Amino acid sequence: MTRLLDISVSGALLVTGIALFAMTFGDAFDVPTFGGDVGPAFAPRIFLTIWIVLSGVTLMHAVRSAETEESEVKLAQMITLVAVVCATGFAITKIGFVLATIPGFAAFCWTFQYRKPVPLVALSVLAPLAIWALFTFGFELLLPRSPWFHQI
Amino acid sequence: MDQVAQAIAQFASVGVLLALIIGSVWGTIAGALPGIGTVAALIVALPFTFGMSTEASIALFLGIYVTSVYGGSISAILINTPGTPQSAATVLDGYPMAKAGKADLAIGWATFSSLVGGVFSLVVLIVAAPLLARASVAFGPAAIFAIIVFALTCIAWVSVGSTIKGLLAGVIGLWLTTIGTDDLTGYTRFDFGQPALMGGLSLIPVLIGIFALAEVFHRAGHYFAAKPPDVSNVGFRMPGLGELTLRIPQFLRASVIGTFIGILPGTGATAATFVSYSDLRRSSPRRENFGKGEPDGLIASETANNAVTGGALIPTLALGIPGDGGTVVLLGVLTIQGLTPGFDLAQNNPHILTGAFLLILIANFIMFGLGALGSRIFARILAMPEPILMAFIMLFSFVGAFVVRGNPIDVIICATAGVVGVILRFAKYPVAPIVIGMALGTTFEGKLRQGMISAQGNFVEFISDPIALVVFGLTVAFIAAPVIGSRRSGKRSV
Repeated sequence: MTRLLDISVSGALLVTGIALFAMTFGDAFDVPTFGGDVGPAFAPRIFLTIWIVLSGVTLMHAVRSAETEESEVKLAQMITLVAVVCATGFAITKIGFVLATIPGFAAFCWTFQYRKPVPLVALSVLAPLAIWALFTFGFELLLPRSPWFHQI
Repeated sequence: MDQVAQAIAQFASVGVLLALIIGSVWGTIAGALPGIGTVAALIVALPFTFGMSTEASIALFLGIYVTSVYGGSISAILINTPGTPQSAATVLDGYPMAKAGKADLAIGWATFSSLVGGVFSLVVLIVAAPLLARASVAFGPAAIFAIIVFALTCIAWVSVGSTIKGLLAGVIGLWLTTIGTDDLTGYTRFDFGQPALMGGLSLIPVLIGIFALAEVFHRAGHYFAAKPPDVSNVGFRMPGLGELTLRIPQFLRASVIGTFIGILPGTGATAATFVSYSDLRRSSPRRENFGKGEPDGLIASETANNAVTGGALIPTLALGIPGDGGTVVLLGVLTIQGLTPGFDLAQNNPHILTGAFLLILIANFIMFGLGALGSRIFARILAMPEPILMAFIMLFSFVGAFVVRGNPIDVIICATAGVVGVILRFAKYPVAPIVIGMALGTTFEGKLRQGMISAQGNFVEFISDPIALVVFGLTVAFIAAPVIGSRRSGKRSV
């Protein structure tokens, strides 16, 4: 799996580098410069050229490498947790910090094998509310709000 | 003396002292808890700085930065698991000492060694940082460009895993800074038609995602619900004066190694710890006891890793060039507070610099006090459920990402960076060069273009600055030395 992942990541980086490099020849970068030929595409082209060369070398190394033994990874648990965190992050931008993180906190702990219901429910409600109150009233910094309530 | 008086007048307040104590306590706890570490500890505290004064923010962050490295030794000694990678070598002699029923003495050695390393590197920092910052006024665009190239090369060269992957990660970080409006022409680059990207990527959400969230995901992949570790023999006992004086040469060696390695960008405390441990295992008169609970082993590890804190702050404060994830966050906090590390800080805000030195000194003594009085409490905290801890890191990560600009898109960017970070981690890409590349990218591009315009597009003329040539020479030597060394040893073996 490690070798396949290495090849996939290196390959993806190579393709991305080439695509971004091609973008620098588009109309958006065709801008007159102040002299020294250092327009907006100057630095990105340098970075992307190095990017392409290095990712090409990395891909070659990955293809030639042998499969290595990896320690056991709980892939399903990790992917579920990634989904929970991303969903919570996305929900924060849509329904606000408090409403998104109360179920997000609970789902996170449950996915992470925490199975004590009373502390789980209590913390899931109290932790987001406490953080929200601290920032809203303590630091006077508004966290993302829901479209339905005034400050929450 | 004026600066010291001014610094004391500005920093001597209950709020600043409280922030320093809270930072030190949190830093020690976060360091002791396996899987959190210095960067995540700083990130969790980041949102709070928006509601604090400049002085209190600096105090909070320096408290965390100084003590989190020490905290790792507590779990290394008590449960045979280093709380931070920097304390990995502490396990080798700390745990055998604890198993022999001398956990209290092991914590005593680790605490005192950390204090010695921290104070030694602080003295070097006090001497070197203002001098280097004042010298930096002579650095033109080419010299700064060359220093950044040197820093990125060092970081990539010593990256865990492949050097090529480290360099690639650094270049990706540099490219990320080209997203958004170009400062020189005002044209927008790589916004992919998304208005939210026109302002560019903010460093902090990417840093939080790549370090804190990626660590949370990684822990989830390797978490197997287990019984809390059995913690016993806890306490604090200072070694005797005779034992301490006998080991002065070992304290000095480890302090010098830690401070020097700390100055080099990218090397960090983990490398310093192992270099120091192997050096003392070779040079100590008690070398045959290493690995069996020898105090020299604890001195090697704990003095060196805490000496790195002062060393790493030298390029960060003097030149604005961070060497690792922790100093990137510190740099970010200073920038958020309107301070520009380097010549500007030394010239226009010398009392802030002096105040920071005083805070580091106090933080080192708070760390010693916490070790002496609180080791039993920290041992209890080691039994805290990891899922709850990780859930709090998620909450603070999202809050930290949002409050930097008050832009909800940063929460999405943070989550995305977390996913990318964990994929890169599994594919054995070092992620620290990405954020360091991002921290330096804007200056790198600005100086390069500024210099090229002055040189009418002639690159040879641009880099013909004497300071730049010296730094480029150092970069070449840094790359060539290990290659030549390995070839020579290869020839000898043939």
